[in-house]
Amino acid sequence: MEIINEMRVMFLSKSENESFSRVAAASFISPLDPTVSELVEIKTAVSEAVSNAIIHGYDGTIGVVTLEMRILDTRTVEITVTDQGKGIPDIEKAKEPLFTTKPDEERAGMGFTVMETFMDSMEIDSAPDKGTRIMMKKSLTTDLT
Amino acid sequence: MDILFEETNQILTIFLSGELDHHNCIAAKDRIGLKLSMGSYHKILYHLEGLTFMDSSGIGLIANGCKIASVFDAKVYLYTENEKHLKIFTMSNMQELVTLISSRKELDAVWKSSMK
Ligand SMILES: Nc1ncnc2c1ncn2[C@@H]1O[C@H](COP(=O)(O)OP(=O)(O)O)[C@@H](O)[C@H]1O
Ligand SMILES: [Mg+2]
Repeated sequence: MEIINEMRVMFLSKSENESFSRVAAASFISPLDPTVSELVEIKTAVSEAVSNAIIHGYDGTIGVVTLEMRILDTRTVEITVTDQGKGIPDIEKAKEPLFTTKPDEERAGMGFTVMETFMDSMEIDSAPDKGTRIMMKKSLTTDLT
Repeated sequence: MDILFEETNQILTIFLSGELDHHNCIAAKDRIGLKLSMGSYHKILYHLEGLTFMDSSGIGLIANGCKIASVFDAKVYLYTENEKHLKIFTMSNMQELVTLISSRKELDAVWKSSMK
């Protein structure tokens, strides 16, 4: 796959950076002229992954969250969100709808389900005490007009 | 994010506007929780048409309100025409906790009948 464009931003695991990450993602893909629906889906998936890194990965401590994006083969968007936080012990369990380790904080356990629904694919790479990497891809529709 | 409350004879409407993510969910949860625990309502309507962004944090916010409202047996409604937001709510079976309203017509119908 040919890399058309690439970016990486790193920021502290502060919840106010959730909105920054969405804006950065939206602005990076804007040259591709995504549909409103695609743009919302990508912003939502980024928000979920970045929130998870902040809430669960670093769990109140301060660390670095990395958001990387690539545009591949003209219209495929690849998004990677990485933290060096506490990691996920059971990935299959974490992916189940409604599963959350923070029910007391009103987490709904739907983050991974939203990412999977709004993106074409999602992969989780994680190890306890090492951190977590989420990789998502979405091919944007081609405007035929 | 902005929150606006409107109440008329035990019906509380909660207007949310702007962006709802985990960050501003924390403050919103407290404000709505406080409002709900100070009153006693028959009906509660979450009016979400003003939300320009929402991720799965929205589910927890609404569910938390429902939990508080269950003390005084209020019926909870949620109005949004945003397809993505509706999808997030239905994916999490929100329709088991609240009545989802997805059009202006439906909203008017429900509200007219409740004003009687
Ligand atoms: N970056 C991460 N680091 C550590 N644990 C994570 C991370 N992302 C997700 N998890 C775990 O997976 C669970 C499910 O995540 P998610 O579906 O987003 O639901 P929620 O965030 O509402 O708990 C979380 O409760 C948490 O235990
Ligand atoms: Mg989450």
